[in-house]
Amino acid sequence: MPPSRAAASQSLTLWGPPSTGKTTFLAALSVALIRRGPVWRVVGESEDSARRLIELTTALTDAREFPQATAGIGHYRWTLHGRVKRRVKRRRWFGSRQQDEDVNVSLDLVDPQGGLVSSSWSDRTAQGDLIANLESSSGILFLFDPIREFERGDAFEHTFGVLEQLAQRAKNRPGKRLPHYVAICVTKFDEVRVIATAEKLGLLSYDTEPPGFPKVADEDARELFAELCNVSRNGNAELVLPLLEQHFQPDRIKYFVTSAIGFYVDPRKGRFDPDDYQNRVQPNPASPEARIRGAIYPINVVEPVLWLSRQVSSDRAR
Amino acid sequence: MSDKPVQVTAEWALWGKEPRDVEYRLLRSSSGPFSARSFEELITRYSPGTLDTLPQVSVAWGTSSRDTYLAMIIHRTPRQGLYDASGRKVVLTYCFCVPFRELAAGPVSYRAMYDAFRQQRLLAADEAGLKVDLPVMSLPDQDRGMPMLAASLLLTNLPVCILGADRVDLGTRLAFIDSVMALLPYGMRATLSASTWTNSIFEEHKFRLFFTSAEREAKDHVLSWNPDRVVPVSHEGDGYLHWISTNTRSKMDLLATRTRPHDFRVLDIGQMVRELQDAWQGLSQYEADKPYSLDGSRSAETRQQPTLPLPAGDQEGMAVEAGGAVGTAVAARPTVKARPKATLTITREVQAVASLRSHRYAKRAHAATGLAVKLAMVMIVVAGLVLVLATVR
Repeated sequence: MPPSRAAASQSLTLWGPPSTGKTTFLAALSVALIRRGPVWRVVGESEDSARRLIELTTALTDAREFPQATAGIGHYRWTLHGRVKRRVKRRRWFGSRQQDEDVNVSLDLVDPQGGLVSSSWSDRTAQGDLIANLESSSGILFLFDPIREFERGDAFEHTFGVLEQLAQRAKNRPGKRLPHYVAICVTKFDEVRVIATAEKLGLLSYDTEPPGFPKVADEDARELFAELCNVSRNGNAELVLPLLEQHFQPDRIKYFVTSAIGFYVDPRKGRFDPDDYQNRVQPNPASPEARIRGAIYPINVVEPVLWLSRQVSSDRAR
Repeated sequence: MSDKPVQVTAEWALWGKEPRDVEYRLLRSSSGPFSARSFEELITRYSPGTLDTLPQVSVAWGTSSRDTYLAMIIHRTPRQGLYDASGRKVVLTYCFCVPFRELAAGPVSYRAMYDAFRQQRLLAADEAGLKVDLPVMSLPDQDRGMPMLAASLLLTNLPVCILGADRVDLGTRLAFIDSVMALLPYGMRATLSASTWTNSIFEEHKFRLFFTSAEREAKDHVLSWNPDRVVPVSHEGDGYLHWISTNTRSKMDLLATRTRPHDFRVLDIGQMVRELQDAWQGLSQYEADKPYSLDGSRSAETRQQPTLPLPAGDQEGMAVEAGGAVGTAVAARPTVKARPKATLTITREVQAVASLRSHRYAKRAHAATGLAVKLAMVMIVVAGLVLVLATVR
């Protein structure tokens, strides 16, 4: 049996309907950390975990392919190594000062097959496994794909059943909401329709640093999420936001607008081009095969993971 | 063993995606007693996780209102690249379910099933099920050391995980599963779930015997394809390992005839081992009276076995009296001479004889107990009468 995991490890479960980009999100984590600078890096906890990390990352960067759809439930055991600033006390009368401290955050990133949360899924045991994973998680990354919602409109169906089962298991907490921290990620920010919606709402701004990517501030992410829910195919998506806020404690929810692959940047220009930014392409119009056009620039992939990790750590320190 | 192929009727299903789909679903299935819903449950329950290398094969089981079915699930890449609505590669899963009793009539190996089913093209005309001729199983000749260990560990009711076989081809891995199961009663295949590969990050899979790249955080027995570590065997598994490691070839012949479906639950295994012990005792006794061999190798093997002297005139009683540990049966086995040819029918006869003998002895014991009870009752009545008379006087 592999060595048992340290008590300080954090289990973060990704949750979302099929094809919302859960595995691609994880695959982009390593590149996102590299692009962010030298402070944080991700390392596989075992030889096998390291191999998975390499495979996922190189599929995006070298093969420029999207990962295969997950079958069953994937557990990625990775460790985040980084530095954080901690306030330490000086001798009396001298107050406190900030000090850099090395930290290791052991992550069990749970990536389930999207279909498991569907009410029509046949194998109730597998569904139970997913609910058990969600229940025991320290934090949840909820992925909402506005494109899929516009085309299929099944986010409510995939969310409602799971939340009801989670709430049922937590019924011995009368009157209380579920205790998890939840990072709600609006995915596929690189898609034209999502950018257009953000622009129409006046939520779009641009980075001053090259390559000058567009962005939506975290405090505006909830508004964009609510607006995108309103254009759902069947109108049920507008129920998703209140449903989540009804079940989880609002002060434990944070919204992010994300993209695992980011925008295309022409290497000769090195700048974001508002007329040519699609990084997901379809090489053969007759086939739905999707490829990644150029280098990936993940947007808000690290941030939700670090936010969840910090919240869970500070909760434990109390 | 007859060489005549066994005809089976296979229900089938195809699981995958069409270009407009984002989720895997049942694309087509036969319309027999194994329903589409049952296929969906079976395929999703026995998922090996995301597979990087294809093809891979899993075996599992399911039931309909009429039968227990053995399922062979083949995961493969489509002949032409197939992508779903999200632009991701699609893996196709072919599932074939055969009534277990039809396979047991052979019996038939997993390898034979795979060879037959991988060739099948599923057509609308086959909705009623595929009629397939499958060759009867021949006992595997490969090294039996690791299969024996795996077989005995399976009896502990914990999954057995094989590591280090990443570069071993599919055929060899499937043959290994066959070899392991050839060392257990054939009927245990009715409830076995095994896979030639499972993704190590999918820890919740439901396989009892599986190949993978890393052990999971579960109570699995772990074996290395190139054994370089000592694997502790529990007491339960140890007893079976001891039993199966002598006269293995003969015992495999016996095991191939034990086709009654068996569960892997501990209680059932205890019962199964007791039945095996009885059958082996019966076989030993039959061999003492009328020696035979199933093939040349077996006769050579059996002649070399050291034997314990039998009490004079007590040969018939041995089958019943040699209870306790499975290993006892091996030690008490009489000398066996070679006989040119035999069929499995003989083994079944022997089982019947052993069963009859057990029954006869059980009846005698029952009669003796009854007599003792009657005597005790008479004595109590007499004592009561004496007491009454003494009181009256």
